Amino acid sequence: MATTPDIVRICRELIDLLPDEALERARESRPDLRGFGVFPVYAPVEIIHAAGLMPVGLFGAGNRIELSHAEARFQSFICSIAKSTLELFLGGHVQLFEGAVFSSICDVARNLASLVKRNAPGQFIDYLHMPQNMYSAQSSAYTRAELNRFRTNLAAHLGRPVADQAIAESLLLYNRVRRLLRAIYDHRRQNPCSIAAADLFAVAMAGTRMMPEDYLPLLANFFDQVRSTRVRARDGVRVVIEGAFCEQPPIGLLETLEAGGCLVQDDDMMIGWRLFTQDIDGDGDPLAALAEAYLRESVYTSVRHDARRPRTEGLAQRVRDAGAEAVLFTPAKFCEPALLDYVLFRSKLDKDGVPHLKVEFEEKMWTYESVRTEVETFAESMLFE
Amino acid sequence: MSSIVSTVVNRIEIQAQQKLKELLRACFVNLDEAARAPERRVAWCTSVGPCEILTALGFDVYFPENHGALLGARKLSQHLIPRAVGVGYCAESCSYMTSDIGATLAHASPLREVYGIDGPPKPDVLVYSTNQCREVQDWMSWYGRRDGAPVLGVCPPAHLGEVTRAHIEFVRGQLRHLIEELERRFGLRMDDRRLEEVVDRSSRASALWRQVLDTAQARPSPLTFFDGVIHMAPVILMRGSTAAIDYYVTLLAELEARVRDGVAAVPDERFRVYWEGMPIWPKLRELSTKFFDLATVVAASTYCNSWAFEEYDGGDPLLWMAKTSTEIFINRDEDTKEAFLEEMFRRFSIDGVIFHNARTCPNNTNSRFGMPQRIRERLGLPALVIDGDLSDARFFSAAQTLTNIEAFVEQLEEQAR
Repeated sequence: MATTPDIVRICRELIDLLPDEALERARESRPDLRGFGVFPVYAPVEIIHAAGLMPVGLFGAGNRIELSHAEARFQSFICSIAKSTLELFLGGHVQLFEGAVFSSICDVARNLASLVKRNAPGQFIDYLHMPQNMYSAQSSAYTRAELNRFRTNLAAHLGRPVADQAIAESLLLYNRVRRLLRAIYDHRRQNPCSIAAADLFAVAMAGTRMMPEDYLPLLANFFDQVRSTRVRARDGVRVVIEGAFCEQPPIGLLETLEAGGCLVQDDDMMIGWRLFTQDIDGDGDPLAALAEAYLRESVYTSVRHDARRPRTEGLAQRVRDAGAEAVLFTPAKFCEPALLDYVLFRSKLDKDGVPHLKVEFEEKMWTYESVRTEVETFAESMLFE
Repeated sequence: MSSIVSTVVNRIEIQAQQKLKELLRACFVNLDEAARAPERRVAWCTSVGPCEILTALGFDVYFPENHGALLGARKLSQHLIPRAVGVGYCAESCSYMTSDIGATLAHASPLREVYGIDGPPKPDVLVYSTNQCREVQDWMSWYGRRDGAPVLGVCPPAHLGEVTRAHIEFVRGQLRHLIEELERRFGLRMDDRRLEEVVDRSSRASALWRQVLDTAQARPSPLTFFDGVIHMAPVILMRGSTAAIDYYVTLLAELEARVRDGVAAVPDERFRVYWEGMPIWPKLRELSTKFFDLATVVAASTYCNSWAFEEYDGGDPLLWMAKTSTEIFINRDEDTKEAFLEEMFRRFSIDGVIFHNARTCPNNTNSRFGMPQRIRERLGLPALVIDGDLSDARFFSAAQTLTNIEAFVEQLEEQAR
């Protein structure tokens, strides 16, 4: 059985792979496997998996590639995930993929989808119009219709059906993955010293670089190891990370936050891949079940609006559930949804007396000294108050 | 250098403008009175939001985007935006929103000086549609929290290519839900007949507005984009009223007379340009003067056409509202937008296109993802991208932009040879 450091090392290697490289790795045991890109925040990976493809998260390219083509097509004030994701396509790093799916999260994403579509001939590039209105009487029917449209078009592209039965089976598989992730996050909330934020991030993100069948045992092993390992408690400000729901922070930033004196109890990283609060019932119509889960059994994010469940309440609840003392906002630079929500969240936290700090990041961030100073000052101001 | 000679011909003003001023004054004074009268209710609504429902239910409707534009046009935005930044807004978020919120925080409004009223009327309810952007939701919610007023919204699917029956039904259902919410919260009852009448008036005003804009197909054009952004006020602020219809009947008659008499908005019109994107409100005069001096008419725009909806021909008014508000340009994918633009270029005999890259309005900026290049390549039309902003003048460099426009017109000259 692999040890926790072994698993973390494997995961860190995996998340550093470009999409085609991740697929090549998976092909070592499944030679004919094809990939399908999933741009954050959420996409119905079950449909993709049921189509016999490997859903691969498109989270940009970190420091792995230079932006030579994408810079020419974007303004300077566009988030880095958009630029490097386009570069992945233009630079031929997504060639082994049947296509990719984007969704209605922000203006940049919608234009990125068009741009990718134009520059990826032969690939199936789709854009999901996920509902922004969660409580209309038509929301369920609409969401199911949209998921079905995606299924139908994907099947047409592949030239083979994507059956309900296959989707139902994938649902059960992803239910198990998400259940384990929920359990690990629960464990971390209770024992923040047991898992470093950067390690949990790597483990959660590795699921976007593997087939779920292969990811499950690794995740289960990790959970077993973490649960059975005794760790020494250390002092620190218990925090929740908010704002990294789309572009993911560099791992160095997460290490810096904890090195600066914070203990991460909860976060919204990789949230689209662990969106649901409970298992989805796979019996009956799987697309209807997925639609209902999206509308009713999912956590808040800054790219969805549910008038009955304000996001400010969602964050307040997350802080309470985690027993956190403070919130670290980590929006990606130029991330409109995160920056708009920062106003709401900040006002709510001020009202509730919860201290907070904003630390913006971008992909090619490589020096963390100033962030560390800021975080240390923030943590010390709380610890020694 | 160019052979352009600065003209000394004065503009011939559009006569209806005087009537427009009176109409706008009456509109804002009425809103102010509504806000003060306990028995009346004020609803705030986004510019392409479901205002017909609000009017039919008896609300007086106020459009905060107009205030954002006014703050920009009066060059106040750059002084007010820092107030919004102070409460957490990003300086690069929608400058309509940040300048309007900044104005409220600073207790400042040009409505006082212009119309002698206190400022924007206090809302009883705020209603948005995200068919234009998500920011309107945040904007309305800020006031909702401040004033303790309910915030209700409609969220059509965005970035659509083909608009399907499923999309329309989804939006129609949301409109029905909106009516139920308003009825429940305010003890009202929708009169379906009245809604049909309001939608019919709205559609008629919109159709007349389209005819007004279409007069610019004539050569020389009787109006420019810079006239359009002024005269479009009634189709936004008074949609659903007879006043808007009457105004456009008058304006259309004047413009048709201009066409008959060969009266040019830009004397000696040489080139015809299309404006894609938001107006640059703080710099309208400078830009208008520059094009005038270059004998180039900005004959058509996407922006002014945003309120030129298809006609209502009876039937379910909610279906019309759902369809028109979902099909609008800003809510469509790139291919649909390009097809629309191509048709506009043809109809208005366009020689070149100007894309305004509005720094704080990504949703209504179409130059960031290769469209100008594609239009150049596919249609052979010269395209110029200018950097600026709808309200925040700090993002606009006059010297650079005006020089670029001069060079662009020189390019049109070269092409014409």
